[in-house]
Amino acid sequence: MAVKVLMPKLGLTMKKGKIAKWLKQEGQEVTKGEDLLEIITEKITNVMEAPASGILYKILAEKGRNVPVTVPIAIIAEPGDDETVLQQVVEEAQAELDSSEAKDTKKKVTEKEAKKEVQPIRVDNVRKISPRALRLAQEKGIDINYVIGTGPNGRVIEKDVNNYLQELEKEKQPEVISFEGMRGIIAERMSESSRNAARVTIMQEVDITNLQDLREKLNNTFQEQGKGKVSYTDLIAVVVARALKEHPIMNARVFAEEIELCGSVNLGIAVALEDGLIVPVIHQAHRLSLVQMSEKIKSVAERARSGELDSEELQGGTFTITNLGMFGAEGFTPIINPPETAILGIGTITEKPVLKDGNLERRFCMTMSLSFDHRAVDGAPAAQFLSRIKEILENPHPLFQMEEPNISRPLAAGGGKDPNKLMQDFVSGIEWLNEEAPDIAVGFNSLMAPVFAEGELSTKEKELIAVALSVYIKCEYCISHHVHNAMAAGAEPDEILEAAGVAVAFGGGPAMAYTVTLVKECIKAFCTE
Amino acid sequence: MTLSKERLLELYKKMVTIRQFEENAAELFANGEIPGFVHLYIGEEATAVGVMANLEAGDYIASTHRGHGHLIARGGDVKLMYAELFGRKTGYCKGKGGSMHIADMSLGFLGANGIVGAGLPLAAGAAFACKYRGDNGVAVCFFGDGASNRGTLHEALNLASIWKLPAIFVCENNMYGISMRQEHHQNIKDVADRASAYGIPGISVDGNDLFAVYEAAEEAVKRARQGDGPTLIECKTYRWRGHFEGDPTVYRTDEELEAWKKKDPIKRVKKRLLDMGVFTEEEDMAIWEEVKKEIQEGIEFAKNSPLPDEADLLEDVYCD
Amino acid sequence: MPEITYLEAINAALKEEMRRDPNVFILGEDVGIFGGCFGVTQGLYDEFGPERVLDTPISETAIIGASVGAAAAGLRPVPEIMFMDFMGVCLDEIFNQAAKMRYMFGGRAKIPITVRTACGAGLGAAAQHSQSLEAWFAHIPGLKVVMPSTPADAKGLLVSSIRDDNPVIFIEHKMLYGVSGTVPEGEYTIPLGKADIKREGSDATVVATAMMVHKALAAAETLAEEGIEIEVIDPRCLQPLDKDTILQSVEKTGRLVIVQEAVKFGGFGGEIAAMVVEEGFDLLDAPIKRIGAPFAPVPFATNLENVYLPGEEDIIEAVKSVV
Repeated sequence: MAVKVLMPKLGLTMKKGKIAKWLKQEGQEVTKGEDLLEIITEKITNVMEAPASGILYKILAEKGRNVPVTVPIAIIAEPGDDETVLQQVVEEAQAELDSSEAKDTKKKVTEKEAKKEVQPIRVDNVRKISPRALRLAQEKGIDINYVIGTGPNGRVIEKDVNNYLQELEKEKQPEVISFEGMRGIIAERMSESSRNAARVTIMQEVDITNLQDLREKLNNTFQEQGKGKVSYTDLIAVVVARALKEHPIMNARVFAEEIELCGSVNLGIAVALEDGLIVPVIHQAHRLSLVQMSEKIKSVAERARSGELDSEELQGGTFTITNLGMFGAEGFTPIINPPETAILGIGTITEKPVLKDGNLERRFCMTMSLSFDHRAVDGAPAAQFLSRIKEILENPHPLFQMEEPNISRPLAAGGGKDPNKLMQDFVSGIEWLNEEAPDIAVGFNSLMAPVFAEGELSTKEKELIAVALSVYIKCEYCISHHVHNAMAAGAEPDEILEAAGVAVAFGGGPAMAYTVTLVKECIKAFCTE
Repeated sequence: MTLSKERLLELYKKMVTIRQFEENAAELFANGEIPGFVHLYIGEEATAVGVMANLEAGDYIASTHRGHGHLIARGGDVKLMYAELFGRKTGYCKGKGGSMHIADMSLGFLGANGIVGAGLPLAAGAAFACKYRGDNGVAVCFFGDGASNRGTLHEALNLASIWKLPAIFVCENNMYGISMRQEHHQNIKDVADRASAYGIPGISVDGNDLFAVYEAAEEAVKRARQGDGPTLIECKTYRWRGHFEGDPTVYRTDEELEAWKKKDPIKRVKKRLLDMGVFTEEEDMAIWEEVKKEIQEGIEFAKNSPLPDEADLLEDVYCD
Repeated sequence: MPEITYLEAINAALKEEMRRDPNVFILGEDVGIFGGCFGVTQGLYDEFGPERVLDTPISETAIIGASVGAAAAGLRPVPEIMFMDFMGVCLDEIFNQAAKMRYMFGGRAKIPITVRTACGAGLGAAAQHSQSLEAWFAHIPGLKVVMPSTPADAKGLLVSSIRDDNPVIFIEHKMLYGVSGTVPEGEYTIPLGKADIKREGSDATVVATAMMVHKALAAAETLAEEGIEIEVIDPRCLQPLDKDTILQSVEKTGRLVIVQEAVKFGGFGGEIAAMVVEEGFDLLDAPIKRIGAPFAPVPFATNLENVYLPGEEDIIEAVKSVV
């Protein structure tokens, strides 16, 4: 009779054991009580003895495998055991072992999911309330509509009212943050800036797709050299330092009586702290290489956070960069760090479709917000400065002596989907609707019914109208479907583009431009079919 | 018979008191002055008085729903009885019991009882207490021919007989269990026959004959006090009124009633006493007048008594 | 403190009270030489003789009726009705005679009897020997109803019951007879109408009687492992009922689960639930849960009886549904 070797339960709390080493190989003879394998539990390695004598017929759980207790890990066969029976035993045991692990993983997922669970937003209120909670609410004069019930079926129970009361109490007494210390300095300097500077903010979107490529290449190289990675801030800082040298008026300090143009670029880098903000200054930034800049910024940022900056490192700034991109901000209106002339705000990087040479492309963009003091600088030079930065950032490769890439990321609407695929999706989508939500399908069909009603219009004309409607409702699938149908019905590409153009004119212009690009892609796709 | 003249007059007066108490009760009930059920003892006076004449202080009595006569015979106070019938605070039970539950523990009177046949085991228990204490007391249980069909009779008589309890079970066979004639509700003529099932004496006497009842009870009480165990006495009698006041008595004939009225137990005693020269007609008249006065005083007392305090509703449910 | 069984505790209480008060005597079926069907009165016949430990015929009516008469005549009878299921045979003597005499007689009588009887299922004794009929008696004004769950309670409460001047229905759970527990040294009493907190807790109040107290305590252990602390209250006496202790506990926990072995419908648990709703509605943070036997006679087969009886799991489930 074959004997299943089970993962032993070696302690009260033991749930699983790891196979450390099999001390016998398959096919080897084992004697009951002989050491068979080593098992690692939470803390220690245990030797398990063979539970029976025979041949170690099959090792089910190989070395390294984590197996729940009481699950089979091997089969010991006895002389004379039938081969087919043995095979069956092995299969069953293997299935048991595998399913025990599957159960285990499944459980883990649910635990993880449970952790992620968030309090959903209430759509409607179940107005169940326990008598005890109601009494308390009445005593305290509380409108129970404000109390969220956590009892069975959303019943408001005493605990909920108490929690609400506590929250109310907390909310009544605002947390006081004193204007002493850093907060005070920030407040004073910001209001001073606001009071004195004639601030204007201009914004410009920069396509940093190339910069991204550059950074990737640089970091790959640096990694090979064992150096640290460079950040966008590092790259931008180097570029800004270069641009400042070219536009001295932006690298200036404004005083009541005069404007001081500074020879050295002392670049302030705003660092967000837990309870404030500090702007360490990178002196002589224009002389630093990218790697030096990167190391400097890392160093000051780290020390800013641990409060270890020297006082010189906080003085003498001529221009400041502030990056809120990591927090998702796009454009904003930064306040100038006096007596500096300007400050550059860096926004978040977003992926978007961009019309490039008449083609819609998938690009990565970022908004730069430049605030400047109009007392010292006028709009035009400021805009020129910003454009210069944009120019460098959009074509950074030569500056960094790297080969320019050929990044073209043609795009069909919907993130580069194949128009044919889109059409298939449309057809299956309609089928799905007919099955799962016939009401909606009927609604859609009735919308299109007048168009497709028998009458004077030809199929081609009807399909052209459908194209226009599809563009109007910005449905990628519908566009693919009807462009295809229109082409099939003999429509010329120009006719289709005209129909799409009508919708764009009605529907609000540029925002729809990309749908027209999609129409083009669909025409192209039909022609190459 | 060993009764003195005074004792005879005393017993006679008790019978007269019962008669007048009940006649007045009937009238008061008819006038709507007494609530609830009233079961009257008129016609059966000799039974209660004849049995009770043999009892001493310290003896116990378990009565029935038709219990006024028993209590008067035992020496109950008609003032307190009327007050109870009227549901007054001064009544025997503070107005909480009424006619069916009048009790006087000081007289060993364990109460009238609204449950037919319920007194039988109670009396056995009281008799047991006497025996347990060895105080020479006895317990008497009155019950009707109707009650003689209850299981309580069997259990109580069996227990009393095996334990030789000093108990006297007095069946007042007034021929009807409410409306059902004895010959319809049991297959024996004499309830006393039941005694043989328990190996105890059973005797059947004329319940309208004070002296016959007295003598039967005298013997039974003697046996009991001697430790010879219980006796079953059947007193054949008749209630003149219906089962309760308001009963149209359609189940019997006027002739039957008239025949029994001729056997009026009071008239029979009166004749005997006149014959014996115990009293004269005038003295008899005086007794009736005296009783009448006592009854009127009792009724006056009851009518002038306060109703129970509503605040006392929940009192006396438990002993503190 | 000595550890004795529930049965020994009752026996000891009887013995002590018979020694103390010569008016106390015992009567019932097979209580004498035989020592009682469950052995509760063992040894009493030897000590007190046939005058005070009386074997009766199988006459429940006479047992209780005579007890009531003897009590009215000044004695303190302690009759035994072998199984609570037989109470129907002597019900009139209990509820029309014993219970009402004092009131009917305007407070001029007292009926100090303690009717001992055995309730409860678990022995496979089926429908006529397993019932818990406490609710019948708690419904009758004039009766006191005692239902102890431990040896210490059984002894102290039985002594108090015998000394009480009112008729007391003293309900012993037959499955508890063998359960041991410590009891105080020497003579002591436990007042009738005082509940006992068998375990303190803050998350839910569980009111349980007799056998169910033990099941509730077991459930409490399991629940505690999950961080739920229940307060287990044993009323011990259903009439008079210690409402204050229950209400105070519900005030603390806001939740109430009532456990009884008796059939749930019309049971005493309903009375507690109604009382708390009437007098402590505002204390409740969740609906009251009642646990009791289903609406069927007690079955015979062991597996059926197990399903029939409320258990630890039922209590755990009910508590979880309200916390």
